[in-house]
Amino acid sequence: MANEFETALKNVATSIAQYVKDASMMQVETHYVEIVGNDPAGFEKARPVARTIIKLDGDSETVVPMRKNEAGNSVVDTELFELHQQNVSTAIDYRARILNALLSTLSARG
Amino acid sequence: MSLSVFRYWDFPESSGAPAVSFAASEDETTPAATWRLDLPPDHQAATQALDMYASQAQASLQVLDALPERVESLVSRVQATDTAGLSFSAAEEPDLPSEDAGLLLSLFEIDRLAEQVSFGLEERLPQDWQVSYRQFQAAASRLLRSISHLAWVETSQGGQLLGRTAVGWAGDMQTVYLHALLPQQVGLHQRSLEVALASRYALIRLFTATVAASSRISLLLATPGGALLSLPAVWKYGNQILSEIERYKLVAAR
Repeated sequence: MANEFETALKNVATSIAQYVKDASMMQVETHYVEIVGNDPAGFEKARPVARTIIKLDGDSETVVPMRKNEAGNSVVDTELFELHQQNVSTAIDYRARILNALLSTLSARG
Repeated sequence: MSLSVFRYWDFPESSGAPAVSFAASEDETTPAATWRLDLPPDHQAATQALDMYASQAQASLQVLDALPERVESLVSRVQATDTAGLSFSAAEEPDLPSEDAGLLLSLFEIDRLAEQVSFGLEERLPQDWQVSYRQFQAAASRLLRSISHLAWVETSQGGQLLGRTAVGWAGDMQTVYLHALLPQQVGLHQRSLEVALASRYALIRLFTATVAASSRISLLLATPGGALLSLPAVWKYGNQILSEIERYKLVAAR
């Protein structure tokens, strides 16, 4: 039983190493949707608000929400963009913590 | 897992929420882990509930951060007093916390049985060990599914869904909010998402801390393969310490 588990742990370490290797990009999207009641299928009709793509080589790309102001000019929808930015911050923080935890697992297993 | 910091995670065995792939490693047949939190309709009560869950998650992480030092201290203490190896008396020290004493007794039992049998040791270990072993295996399986596949975070208030976020293993996120939510309702989902991710991270830390502590604690065992044999006992030890902290937080919150 212990040998089987040791093999499983080694497989986990290998998988984690592959995940870390593949994690070269992070994408955060924010959408909104109008649904009736709690119909989960309604989420498939969600419309995008903003998107941020962050690459580990330092490149990043953001699609920002715009709206027309009273003068008819396009301006950034600050409220929606701040909402999206909050999600981006949460994602960046989470990713940093998870990567640290995974890398510490690898070093602990040798 | 009975710890409240993890109890809103649902890890379905064979079917679940629809899979949305973020990564090449995504297996669309694997059901997604889902965090479902239904908050009270009153905003202040909802905020207080989130504060409590956030506090529990934070306390759990602090305990897990301190676990290596606690294990190291225990190992040093036993090595200083029991130069001939682990003995029953090590667990009877009057100032030893009950969780530490329980761990030492489990380790002593492993060594004692190892002296009596040359093979098939795992099958002869106490029922308690077998139960802890199965719990650790199940938790490890849940953890792997949690971190290697998509997870959903859903927040409701008074039964009304506010938002849903799909979280990839490495932080990719796709959030959908209901149209025309109040800013404070948007804030509730964002806070719920933070607590869910802190809880997910705590689960990973519990797992990695258990593996590392088992490696360290095996120094006390004379049995070959002690790190693996001690995994269930150390897993139980970590959970007991977390439960104790949760009880303390609940009493303090009253």
